[in-house]
Amino acid sequence: MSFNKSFNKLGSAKATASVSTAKGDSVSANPTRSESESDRGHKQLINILGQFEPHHDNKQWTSIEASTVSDQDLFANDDDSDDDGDEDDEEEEGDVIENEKLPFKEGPSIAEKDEQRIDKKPESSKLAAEVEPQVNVSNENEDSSEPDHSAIPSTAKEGIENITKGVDSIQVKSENKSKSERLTKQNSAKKTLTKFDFQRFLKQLRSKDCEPVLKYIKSFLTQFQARTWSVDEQIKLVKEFQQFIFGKLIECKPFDNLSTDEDVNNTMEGLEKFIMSRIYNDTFPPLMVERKLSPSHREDLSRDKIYHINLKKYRWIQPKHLDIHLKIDSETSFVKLAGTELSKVNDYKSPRDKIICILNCCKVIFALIRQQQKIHKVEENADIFVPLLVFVILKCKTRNLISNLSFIERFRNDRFLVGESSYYVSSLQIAANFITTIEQSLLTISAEDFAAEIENNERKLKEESIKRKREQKILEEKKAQEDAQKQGLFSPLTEMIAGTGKGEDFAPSQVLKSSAGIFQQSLSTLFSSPSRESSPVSSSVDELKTAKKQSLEESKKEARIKSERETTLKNLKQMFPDMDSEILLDIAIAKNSNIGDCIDACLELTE
Amino acid sequence: MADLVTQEPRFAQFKLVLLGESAVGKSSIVHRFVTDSFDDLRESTIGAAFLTQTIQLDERTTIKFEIWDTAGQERYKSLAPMYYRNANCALVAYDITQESSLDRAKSWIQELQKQASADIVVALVGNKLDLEAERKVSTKEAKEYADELGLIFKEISAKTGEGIKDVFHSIASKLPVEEKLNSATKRRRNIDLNRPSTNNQESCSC
Ligand SMILES: Nc1nc2c(ncn2[C@@H]2O[C@H](COP(=O)(O)OP(=O)(O)OP(=O)(O)O)[C@@H](O)[C@H]2O)c(=O)[nH]1
Ligand SMILES: [Mg+2]
Repeated sequence: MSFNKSFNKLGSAKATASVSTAKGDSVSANPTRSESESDRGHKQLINILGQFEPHHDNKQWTSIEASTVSDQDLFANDDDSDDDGDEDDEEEEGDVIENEKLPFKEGPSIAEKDEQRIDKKPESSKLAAEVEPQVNVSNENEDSSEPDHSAIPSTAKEGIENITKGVDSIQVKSENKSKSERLTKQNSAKKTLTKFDFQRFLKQLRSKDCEPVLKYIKSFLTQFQARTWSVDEQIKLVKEFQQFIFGKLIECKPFDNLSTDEDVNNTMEGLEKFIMSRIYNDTFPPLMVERKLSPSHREDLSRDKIYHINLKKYRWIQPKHLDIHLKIDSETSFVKLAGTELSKVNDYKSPRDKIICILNCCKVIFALIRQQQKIHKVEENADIFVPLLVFVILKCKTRNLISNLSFIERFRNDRFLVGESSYYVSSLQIAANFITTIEQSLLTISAEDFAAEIENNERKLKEESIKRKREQKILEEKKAQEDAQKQGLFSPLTEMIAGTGKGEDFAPSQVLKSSAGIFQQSLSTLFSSPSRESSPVSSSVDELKTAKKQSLEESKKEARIKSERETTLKNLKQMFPDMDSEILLDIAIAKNSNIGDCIDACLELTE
Repeated sequence: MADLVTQEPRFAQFKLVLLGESAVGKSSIVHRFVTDSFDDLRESTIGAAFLTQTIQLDERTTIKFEIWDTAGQERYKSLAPMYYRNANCALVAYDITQESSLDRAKSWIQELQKQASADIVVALVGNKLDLEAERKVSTKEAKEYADELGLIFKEISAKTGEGIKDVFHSIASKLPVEEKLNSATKRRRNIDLNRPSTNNQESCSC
């Protein structure tokens, strides 16, 4: 990556990009900026990229490095509650490292290794491979907000501490570039999703040799977070940095020995997740602070707004309005389950994890189609799949779908956004976009019926809103009383929930129940108003969780596994009422409560 | 494999979108192709809307088609560009017993010319050749149209399997394998927002 080359590439990228963002710019151009956003960003971009440039003056790099190193903790940010990155100290670091061992960070599980599924040969090896912790969202978030300090591996701790000491710039060898090119070229991502072990990557990254690389990353993150970038600049920065840092990484032990596709992919996946989860709050529009929103980010938000409005406005839509001639409704367990899986996109920060949620949702929809094939004549194709996807979204009301899709499209490594992943992400884009454009002519319904449904729904919405306000008032009064009694740690939290007005789809008790760690995120995803400065909640929450987490950790894990199994079993019983519940339990255990795998197994058995 | 120096194996992956009016036989064509091809290597982990099939173009070249089924209903038409963006090839099918299906195929082709990447390989196929007795669309009419636009043209039958392999091989042979191998990263490089360019108006109302 030569400086001039990246400059030129940047130029051409801007040229093409300006076409697509022209609209966004004109919609909400910021009048207070004297220099256009893109021009200014452009210069800064070159600045930053220049600093990564191997031929550049090392001193310059080091000095920048020195000034930024203490500002930010590299391993911070992975914790949901940890938005106050600047004040981090070593303890925090340890906190977060441990946190990365927790299932939340591992991402959702999917039957991603079951390419042999089509062969329908349940081999024992396959079974073993699929035994992976299935993530249950609420539990998982609890875990992540209560990481365990006690179990920090000492080597990791040392490694992190060393980051803060001065490290000489990396000397880039000339063979570096060609090596990285060779490595990334010889193997394309042939499978839908290749295996990925984030813990392995983190462990490798913590090795002493990688310290200089960590410094680069740290500096990048600091600079990325320091300014406002346009979307195109963000994409460019992230992609080029990943490419650059991959080149660095493969110079260092143990990454200097990546021999298989799997190793290369694991490293690239790891880098993507590592970096993206740390700049999530600067790249996922619903979580970004107002001043950092560029026109395209704002457009995501405004499109999400339309999407949310239409979710409400058209919540009465029935399968027949979409030409789905199956006996299903919003209570069908497959529909609910598909929706639950989809809604998990808001619980994950990395593009890959979000995609897994989407694939899981699609998988359940196909399971539904296969189940219905026993009753109806229905083929397994896009003509039935897309309408079902639309229906699922309308019924489960996944928040911020537009922003999530934009995020995936922007930041998922090109080499992985191919094949099946790409297909189902595109299908979801089609379904989500369809929802933002719904009108009578796009539904199978007469004009009169349509008008009647709309009117009826508006009336209901109004009634619900009145009722909600009333309930909220009662709740507020109750809360005020309680708060007066005990000025506990949670008071700012409850106040905020009561004060913001609960979203119609979430009962306040539910929000409260979910851990404090996810609080900020769920709040922001709940209310898509663009002003979201980070709240003071996290620090008090941190204290709280430090105090009680140790004793809880073990028992919680057990409880989680148990509750996962119960949930899965309950779902399975609903979906397969004819099957013996002992068999269902066995399946749930064998498949580690992964609902997708369980459904597959059940379908195979009932065929 | 015999000569490792000059015959280094090549593997390239291409995206193919299926377009055409409902019931012309798109799914049947793909089903036939996917199950009949000599190489039975398929992967589909989620569902049959997305299928892949690998074919051997020549001794050293393996091509994998990623086959994208599309929702054919009119209500998703404005969103179709999301399907065919970055597509390397398109198979546009009509039913030789349905005149209207050729018109619909033509409108898809027009759209592709406007919206898809410039170098997309397009094949126009007339399906249900086994129903010769009920033919409504003459071979001549469709072939002339295809020739004029430089499209691959073939009449086929998903039922008998006639012509199916040929079509996919014709497509494969027109695909820029060498280019693909050299620019694995170029793909999807262009920064486009996640919405079709035909459908821009409604989203900027605020
Ligand atoms: N005789 C005959 N019938 C065919 C042929 N190909 C498909 N059909 C029939 O045509 C009907 C429609 O075929 P599909 O493959 O479902 O068509 P499609 O284009 O995928 O339809 P949609 O998915 O609804 O858009 C089915 O009843 C097939 O059996 C063919 O070559 N010959
Ligand atoms: Mg079909």
